[in-house]
Formats: sequence, structure tokens, C-alpha cells
Amino acid sequence: MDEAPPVPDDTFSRALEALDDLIPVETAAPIDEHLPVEILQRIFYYLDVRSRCRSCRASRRWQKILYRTPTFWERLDLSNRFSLGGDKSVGEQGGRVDATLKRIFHRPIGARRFSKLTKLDLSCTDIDPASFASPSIRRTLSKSLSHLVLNGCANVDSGSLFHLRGLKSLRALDLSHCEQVDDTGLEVISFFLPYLTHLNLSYLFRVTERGVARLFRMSGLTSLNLMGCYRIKQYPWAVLDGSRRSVLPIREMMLGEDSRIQTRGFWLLWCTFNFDTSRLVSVCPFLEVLRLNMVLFDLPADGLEVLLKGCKNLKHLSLVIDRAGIPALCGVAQHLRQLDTLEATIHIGVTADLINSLIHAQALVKLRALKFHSKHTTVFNDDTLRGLIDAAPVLEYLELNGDEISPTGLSPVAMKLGKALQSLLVHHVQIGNKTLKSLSKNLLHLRELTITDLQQLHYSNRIRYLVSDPTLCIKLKKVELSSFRGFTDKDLALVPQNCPNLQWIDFSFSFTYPRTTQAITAHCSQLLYLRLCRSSPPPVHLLGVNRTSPAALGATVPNARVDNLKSKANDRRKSINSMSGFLASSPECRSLIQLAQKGCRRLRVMDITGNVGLTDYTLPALRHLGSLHTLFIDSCEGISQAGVVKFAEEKWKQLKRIHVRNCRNCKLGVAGENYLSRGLEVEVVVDGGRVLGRRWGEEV
Amino acid sequence: MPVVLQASDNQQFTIEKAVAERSMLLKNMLEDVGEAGEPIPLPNVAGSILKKVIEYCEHHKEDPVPSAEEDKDAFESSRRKADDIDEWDAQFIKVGNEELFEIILAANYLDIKPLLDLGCKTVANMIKGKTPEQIREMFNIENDFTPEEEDQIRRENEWAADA
Repeated sequence: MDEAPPVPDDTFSRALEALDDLIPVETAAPIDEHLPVEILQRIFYYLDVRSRCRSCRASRRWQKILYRTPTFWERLDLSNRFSLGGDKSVGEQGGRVDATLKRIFHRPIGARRFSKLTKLDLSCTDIDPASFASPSIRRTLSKSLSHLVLNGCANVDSGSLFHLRGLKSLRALDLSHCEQVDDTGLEVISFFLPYLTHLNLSYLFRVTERGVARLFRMSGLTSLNLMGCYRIKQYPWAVLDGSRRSVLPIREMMLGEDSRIQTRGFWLLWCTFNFDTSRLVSVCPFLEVLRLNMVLFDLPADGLEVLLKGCKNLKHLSLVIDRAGIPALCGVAQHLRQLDTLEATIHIGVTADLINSLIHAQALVKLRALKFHSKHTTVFNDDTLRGLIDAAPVLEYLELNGDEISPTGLSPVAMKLGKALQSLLVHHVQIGNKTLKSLSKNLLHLRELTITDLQQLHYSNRIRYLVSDPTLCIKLKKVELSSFRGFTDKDLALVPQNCPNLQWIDFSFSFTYPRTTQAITAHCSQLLYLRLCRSSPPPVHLLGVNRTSPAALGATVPNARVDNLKSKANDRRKSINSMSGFLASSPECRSLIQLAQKGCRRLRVMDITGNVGLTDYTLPALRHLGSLHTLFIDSCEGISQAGVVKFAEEKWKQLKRIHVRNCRNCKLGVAGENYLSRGLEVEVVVDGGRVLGRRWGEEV
Repeated sequence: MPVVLQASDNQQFTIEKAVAERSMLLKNMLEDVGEAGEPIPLPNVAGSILKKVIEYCEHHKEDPVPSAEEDKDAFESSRRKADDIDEWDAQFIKVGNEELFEIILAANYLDIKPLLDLGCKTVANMIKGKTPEQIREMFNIENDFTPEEEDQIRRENEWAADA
């Protein structure tokens, strides 16, 4: 406050300045004359990476400011993650990522820009790790890069991992889905990258426990992900001999496979015998997170107790529960209650009594996820379900078979689990209107809802009640609904209409979807995946096979219901044969064309099964879907070979794959297939012969 | 106790102390000098801009004052979220470019973090999704690259092109 107030006699010069200010009014105000560097930096902080890159090209000043602020460039994402694998890169630039890296790091100022790069994501690219040996890249990245993602890179093989040795700061490496990496690769990693702490090796089909044993010489390894490495038959520590380091610092370990994939009948790949938990405890005593998503046959009776008592820090445990293991689980209920999180996948053959015994032993207090290997495993009726919900108050992921659940049986799920539940998957269930409303109103955080084989109770049992309350509708991201009979398109259309944030829609009903498609066009702008299936009941002979197959153990289908389905199946077959195509002016065709032209700018994958209006006339309209890169067509009789080829030709730049199955009128010759796959680089699979398509394969 | 502010063009504004204290600069000043009652000169801020700034402070005088550390964290965590601007603020900041820049400068000078952030977010939102040519046109930036340089910069940055 020492300053004197401005002297009034400079008013004249101020007036002149004011005049100056008035003159350049026509042109936009020059930002550089106004804003100093600090403020521009502050503005650039609020930009996403793409906008920053474009801003670099505005002027020298901007480029300098941006390039000289390495904190803007701590993460670099060059991945083709959203192209779903394959070699063809989506979009115009794409090209070789090696060249892109070189270009970015070529000039010193360019390299300096990335001098604080900590995370580099090269997922699904053609990166050759030799790029990291080039001096300019290695020099820049050796000090800062701590996190490298090479998920699904086809050119990464065991030998080439050697080139990563210059990355001295690297701590986390993701090699998942790099199919060429084998045990030698793990040897290379353990020798040249001994300081890694996090290693993701999931889905490396060539890796065995011998290779994994090499990793145990890495003294800092705290997190090891071996999900989906099905060659690892024994548990990895079994091959450690006594002369090696006896205690490992591992805190997180994942083994086995997610139940969703095991459901397809592959669970036999993920089982192991004589699982030695005492060995595990002595080798890995610091475990905090353990995912053992495999069936442990012949687990000693005290196996779990040894594990839970030995690993004192254990917070998170995922287990597959089979029939034989349940008494042991009941025995360690007290320890299970002390975990933070318990995830359970129920193996086939488990009965309601066994689940009940778990509930009564209060073993499920910390249960967060309950999954099933087979959707036909029936363990719940109204009473046991209520018992489960009372016993497991923090359940976030609930899957169940609704064979024996009454139309009001799901009400307690809505009332009691409303605040916790994020995913709900129900198979073969009847749900009354009141219960549907209650689900809609009380499931506050549900993001994923799957109801397969929904049974309509009577004509006025409507799906619309499921989306009658905004509570559920606003949060819902993924919805999968299917039913073999009943319900109407008009009713179903309310689902997309009321749920504006849906990213994933999978509908399978016995009708076509003109109104639903219109609603999707108008309301679901976030949609990434769309499947519309016109289902017919399973063929009669398959029904028989299905219900007696080992996977269906525990499922009891009343005979009357099978008979009913059989007759419905025959009716349906007749009606499908009688209508093979749609007129161009039909609501089905028009709604599909509208969908392509007006809605769903972000849609990436589309799956059309059955005759729902996709014909040679509507197919070309799908080229308007700018983000679409994958198209599955199944049992569409209106599609011909010429139509598919023409569509692929028009859209080849963005299109990665078209799979055509069971389409009577579309038989692609060798020449045609070659033309599409070689000439246009579109992966085309035409499989007209296979009767057992995806549809029934999934149900088993 | 009202506070009197005097802009660079000698316009005077009488405001409540609570409003003035939205500005860290004024708050510190008032703490230092006590309640002198004399007009505080702000030679870097024109009257028209100061009026705008006071309007903002009046509207936000009830907001809790974030502590310095919290503020830093908030800045770090929210830096990518440039679109969470509330409705009144959005209306308030709908001004011409020049006025916008002046408001940002005034907020910077007076040390009013939320207003500074609001201004920067607004400019960032203007930049988003624009091509370099559009950015230059919007902010009257001269393209001082040689064609070769321009090509090089383009190639160095095309990895982030829209996929």
C-alpha cells in the first residue's frame, strides 16, 4: 500500500491506448500478445493429448512451450487397442509403429519432449523391440520409462526381449497375448530385466512352469499374472528346488482362467492335481492377492487352512469351488471372514445343499463375486437365494440359474443388494412385473445386466418394467437380454430408449427389431457393440443332447417344458422357411438404414444373427458407420456373396473382419476369399457348412 | 467493512470485504494493512475487466476457500476435465476473446484460482478438436514455420491423429 494512486494527468495517453485497443477489433485478438508462457502452459494442461499435438503445429512459440514441458508428455499411447487385434491398423495413419517411434525421437528436441515419459503403450502394434536399442530412443527412455505395455504384439518374440535391456527404469512389463514368447523369453527377462516388479504374462500359450521358475530369481518381483497360460499344468513353485532362493517377495499372483471363458467348456484345461499349499506358503508368504481360478482336484483337506493361516497378509482370494472342496471351505470360514474380498466360481456338480452348508458356516461374508462354470448349475431356490443374500451383504457380481426361482424370487436381491451390486447375470428365469420394477428401482449401481432365456409369465409380463426407473437406466452400460418366445419389439424398444449410456447391447428374441433399432438410433449414441439375434428355439435333437450333457449336470428340466419347446421349435422352423427376405421398404430394412446413417457414430462391432432385415439392400448402408470394424453375420438369408464383396470393397479402409456363417445364399469361393483377404486385407470367414454355430455352442 | 478498488482507468468500485477476499492478493493486502479504508490501486486491471471480475467474486463469495495444498491436488486431478464448468460460470465467461484473455490475466494478477482455471478451461475448450489452421485463425496466430519445419512437426505429431 506504499504505492501512490496513479496520477490523473496521464488520462490523455490512456485515451490514446484505448483508441489503439479499438482499432484491431475486426480480426481475432492475438493470443500471443496477451498471454504469457505460464498461462498458456496452464491452458495446455487442460488439453487432451491429441489437442496438444495439434497445438504444437500452430506456431513456433506454441511448439516450443509444449515441447519444453515434458510433464505434458508422461504417457504415450500408440496402441491399436481398439482395433481388436490383427495386423491391419484402423484409420489412415497407422502404418508401422517402429517408424513412428523413430520419427518422434529423431530430433533432440523431440526426444527431450519425452524425457519424462513414464508409460508407453504399444498394444496390438507391429512393434519390434529392436527399436528400443536405437541410441536416441534408449537414451531418452532409460531414465524415465517405468511402464511398458506390449499387449498382443505379434512381432515380440523371446529373443527380441533382449533389446529391452537398455530400459533401466522399467518396472512393469505387460507381455500378455504376445503369442511368440516362450520359456526362453522368460529366461531373457529374468537375466536382462531383473529389476521388474510387475510382470503380466497372461495368455502366453507357450510358457510352462519351467520358464516361470526362472523368473523367481528376480528379487523384486511382486506381481505376477499368469492367467490363461494353460501349459502351466503344475503350480509354478512346484519346480523350485531347495537350493534356490526359498522365499519370494510376490504379493500378487494370478493363475487359471476367468469363469466367462471357462464356461465355454474349457475348464479341463484349468485344473491341477495335488495342489501343494504348504509349499506355496513357504515360497510366497507375503501374498496379498491370490487368484486361483482353476479347479484344484485332490486338494488335501487342510490345504486351504494351511494357505489362509500361512499367508497372513492375504486380502483377496479367488477360488473355484468344486463339490469336494466345500467341507474344507466350511472349516476355514473363520479365516475367510477376515479377507477383504472373496471371489468364488462354482464348478459343475455343486448342489444346493452344499451351497447351503457354506451359507450356514458363514463362509461367504466377504463374498464379492459369485460365478458359475455352467449356467445350468441350479443351486438356488427362493429360500437359499435369500439365505445367500443375507450371508453375503457385499456381493457385487452375482450370477445364478433361475430354474427354481419364483417370479418374485429376485426381489430380495434388489432390496438387500441394491447398494452393492454392479453385475447381475440370470439364466432361465421368470420375473414378475413387480419384481422387475423393484429391480429397476433399487439396483443403484448396476452396470451390467444379463438375463438369458427369460420366460414370459403371461401376456402382460413386460420387459418395460425393468427400465421403468431412471435409477437403473442411467447407470446401465451393458445389457444382454434373450428369450426364445414371447415379448414384443415395441416393449423391448423401451430398453434403449430409457438407457442413454448403453455401450453394449445384445438382444436375442423371436421377433424382428424395427422399433428397437429406431430407439437405439435415437438414444444410444455411446454404443460400441450391438448384437441383434432373431432366435429360434434350439433344434429338437440338440435339446435332448443339451440336457443330458455332462455340462448340464444338476439342471432339471421338467419334461413338459421340453415338449413345449419342441413343438414351438417346429412351428418356428416353418415360419422361418417361409420368409427368407425383406422388402426394401419394410420397417426392418428402413430402421437398419437409419441406424447406420444417423446413429451410433462409435459403434465398432455389429453382430446380426437371423433374418432381422439385413439384406443386400441394407448392407451397403452400414458403410456410414464410421467406427465399425467388425461385422458378424449369421443365418441371414438376404445376404449374397456379391453383397458381401461389394460391401467389403466400399469399406475396406476401416473394415478389419467380416464373419459370415450359415447364410444359405452366401457361398464365397476360394478366389473371392483370396481377393478380400489378400487384396483388401479384410479378414473374411465364410462358414456355410457348420450347423452347430456359435448360437448353440454357447448354450452348452 | 467495504473495500474500495481503483482500476487502471481510475474507476472505483466499492465492494464487501468477503468479495474482495476471493482474491488472494487482496486478502493478503488487507491482512497486512488492516482496514485503512483508502482505495486500493490495481494498475494492471482496466475498469471494465475489474467489473467482470467483481461480478464473478460476488457470485462465488459463499464458496469455501480451498487451502493452498488442496488446491494443488485439485488442479492435478482435474486437469484433464476441462468440461466440468457450471452453468452460471459458462454464461459468465461467454465473452469475446480479448476480454477473455484480459479476465485470465486479471485473475492471474489478483490470484483468484477458480477464475483463472475457468478462463484457462474455456480457452482449452476452444482449442479442443480444432485443426492447427483453425487454432491459428481463432487466436490470430501467425504461422511462422517454414514449409519444411511444418512438415516435420506434422510428422512428429501425427501419431495422435484421429483414429
